Amino acid sequence: MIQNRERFLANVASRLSRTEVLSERPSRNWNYRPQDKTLTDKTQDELVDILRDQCRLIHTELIETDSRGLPEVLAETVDTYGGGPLAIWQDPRYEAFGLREQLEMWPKQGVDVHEWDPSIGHDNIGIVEKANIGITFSDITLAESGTVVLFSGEGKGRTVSLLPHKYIALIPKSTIVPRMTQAAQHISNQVQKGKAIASCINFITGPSNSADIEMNLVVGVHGPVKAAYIVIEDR
Amino acid sequence: MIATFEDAEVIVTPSGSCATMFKDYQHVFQDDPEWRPRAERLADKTYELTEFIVDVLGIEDVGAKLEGIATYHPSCHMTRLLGVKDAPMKLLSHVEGLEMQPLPNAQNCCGFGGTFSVKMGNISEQMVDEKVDSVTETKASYLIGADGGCLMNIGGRMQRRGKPVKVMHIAEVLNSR
Amino acid sequence: MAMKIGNEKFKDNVNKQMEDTFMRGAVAGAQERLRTRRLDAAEELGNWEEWRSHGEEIRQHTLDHLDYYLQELSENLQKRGGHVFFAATAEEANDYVKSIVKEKRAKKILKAKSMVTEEIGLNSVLEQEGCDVIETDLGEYILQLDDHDPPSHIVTPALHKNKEQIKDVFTEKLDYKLTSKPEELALHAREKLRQEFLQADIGITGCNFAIAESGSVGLVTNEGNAGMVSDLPDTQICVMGMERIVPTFEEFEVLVGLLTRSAVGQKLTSYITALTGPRTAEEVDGPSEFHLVIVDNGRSGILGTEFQSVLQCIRCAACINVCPVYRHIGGHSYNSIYPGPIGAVLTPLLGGYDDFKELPYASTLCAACTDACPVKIPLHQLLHRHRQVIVEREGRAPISERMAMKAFGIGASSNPLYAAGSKMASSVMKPFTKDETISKGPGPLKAWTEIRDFPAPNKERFRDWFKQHEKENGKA
Ligand code: SF4
Repeated sequence: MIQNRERFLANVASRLSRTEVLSERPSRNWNYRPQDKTLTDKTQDELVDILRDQCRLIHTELIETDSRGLPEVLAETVDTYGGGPLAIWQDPRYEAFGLREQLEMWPKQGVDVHEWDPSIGHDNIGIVEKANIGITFSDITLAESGTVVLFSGEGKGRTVSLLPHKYIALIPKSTIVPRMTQAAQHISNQVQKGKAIASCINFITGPSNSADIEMNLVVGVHGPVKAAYIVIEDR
Repeated sequence: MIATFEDAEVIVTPSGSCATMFKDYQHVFQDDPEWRPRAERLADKTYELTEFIVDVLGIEDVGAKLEGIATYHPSCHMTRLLGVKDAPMKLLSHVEGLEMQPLPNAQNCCGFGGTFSVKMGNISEQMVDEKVDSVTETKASYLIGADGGCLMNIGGRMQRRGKPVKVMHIAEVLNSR
Repeated sequence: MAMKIGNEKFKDNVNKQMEDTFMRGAVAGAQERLRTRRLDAAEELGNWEEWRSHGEEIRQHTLDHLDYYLQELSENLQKRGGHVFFAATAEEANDYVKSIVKEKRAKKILKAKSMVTEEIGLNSVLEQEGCDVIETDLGEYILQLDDHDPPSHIVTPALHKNKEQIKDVFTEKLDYKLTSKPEELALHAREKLRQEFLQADIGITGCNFAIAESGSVGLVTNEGNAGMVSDLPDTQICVMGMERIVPTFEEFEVLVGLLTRSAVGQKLTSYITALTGPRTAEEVDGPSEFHLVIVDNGRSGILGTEFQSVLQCIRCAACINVCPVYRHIGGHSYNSIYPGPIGAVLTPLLGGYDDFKELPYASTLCAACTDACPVKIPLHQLLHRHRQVIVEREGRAPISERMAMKAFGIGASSNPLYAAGSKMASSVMKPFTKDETISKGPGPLKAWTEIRDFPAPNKERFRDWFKQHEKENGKA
């Protein structure tokens, strides 16, 4: 429902010296486009270097491995973060990246794993809230800022990256782009093609933090207090 | 103002604020068909002193001599509105015998601000006091600047607070032999 | 609390605030850190001036076509199942939110920091309705606990408080027993608020930038509280100032980058979220109902005027962080939730000259703000323009100001008069002169000489010196 629009916009239009609300999309002819030349000349390997450097600034551990080493590296990281309970998405990528075995192993070792389950509705949130670690894939990864971009969806609950005490992002190297520019272009293209974009797009850069008390940086406020990125080099 | 100066070949002013003002008349007279071109011509031939020496005359060493430690206050209008940042430092670095010390928080306004210094006297006082403290911290015996207003303000406060720092306009420094 | 945060006179406020030595130390320290971080972030990005120019052109274009983009935004959000309410006034906005609260019989309402909801005084309206309104941004939370102490900064609202004071507030209100270590304080707030998040009925956020092409609302935080507020309650309400909008995700990206770098010197903050309507039928978290309230509250009165550029503002506070006046008087002196240079320009436009006529004078016009602004708002020129408006149209400048302006206007306007004036200056000042300085001056000079000496006008004028000099060199 839209309320009060006509009167409101008529006033705006008249302030802009128009007799009626502009109905044709104005053309955007920018004189400047610095984003076209920012980091656009980097190779994929150079982008990983940039990501690595940036992770130091955002209090995020960056671990590099390949798809063969992934299960072990992930298990180790989970260990150092204090084990379960774990919360993960319902996402075919875990299987595709050879993690099925590890996911089945954990419960046998006493590490609870909750896979997001749309059929139980709101109860997911209560379980995820109690999780020690949330683990998701990154849909797009921004090298410059060290950001993982997550699109919400049916099996991809938005709270998995937010409510658990710690967060691990799995980053296929092919998802790495120079900066937010490329992610924005991707999303904008979707919109222009008439596709429905995710209802929640999260750009997450390291653990949550605040400098509200005497400008001292405190890492870990409402969201996770620790974050690790695992880059999978051959995917 | 325009009429007073428009016959000159070039206008060189020893104050960043004044130069800014001269350059600003074209905006004041934006919609005035008669005065706008006159104001534009005036703006084009107006230079701040150090900018004129370094960028127009191409001179960095004017052969000046002055013994002692000095610090430089970059005035707001000169650095920000006029964009003259390096010329004074270039000139000062060539003054024989002069040791330049960086001024802490140099970018902060000294609290002059024309009528502000009078109308908001108590705030102005706090601002100039911080500036005086910064100058004192450098242990300089000269405070050099290129804007009369700022120098009058900081100098006046230093004198009132009994600080033995000599305030010099950069033109005076460059004229020292 | 609305935009105006007190009834004291500006001068009294300033005098009181300037005695707060902790506040002044905190502000000075914060300014230094934020300034360096911002400059480093800009340098690291490269081409900063080009980015600023791009930011400026995006904001100008959007404002010039604001009717189109607001229309597009509302259409697209409706397609995604969201509700849009256009509010001409603060009252309309508050009434709408109130009606949702009533309909939902909501008791617990969570908020993520939002300046526009402060501006319209939403919290107190909801509290009068018997709701429990909880601010979740750590800084805002501290202020709210401290009996609604007003914010003193638009990005770090509790800047004026030290950790001891914060600890005392926690001890008194939350039965807190630990030390004043920021980590411990923050952890305590985390635990307290976590429970609230899970029980809230409605979440209210502001909006950093709405995105017209997709009907999305973009939120920028570091703490992750906006995510909590928008993911957990079943109903979400976003309140946005009508100018906080961009055409597409591409411009969103540019402005977010300018905002995070200018505000806190980060390439991006920890959480940037783009929300597009309620959760979809397949999803199980996120709100089932999504409302966007678009607020005018005086903004349209600025559109199309010589002050339009102030609407370019992206609320990054860079101008506040470099302002030498703010540095000494702090945020509360401005008597507005919008302090510093942006506040001194915006507050009189939204709140009128009657209550805020001193603000445009609380500046030396040093232009540090203009220099820092990532979207190139000519703040010092707008401050100057305010003064002219006050003098010309309202006749409200103090007499001394008017006389000084006038006198200089006449005195400098003609060649002979200027010559005569500058010749006279030294003799006029003679009675007040002692050792080349003036310690007690007449008229406007009195205020000057209360705090500093004034140099006596030079007996030798440059014009005379130059003539003499040329004569000596045989040129005249
Ligand atoms: S006026 Fe400019 S610098 Fe100040 S808050 Fe707004 S965008 Fe930032």
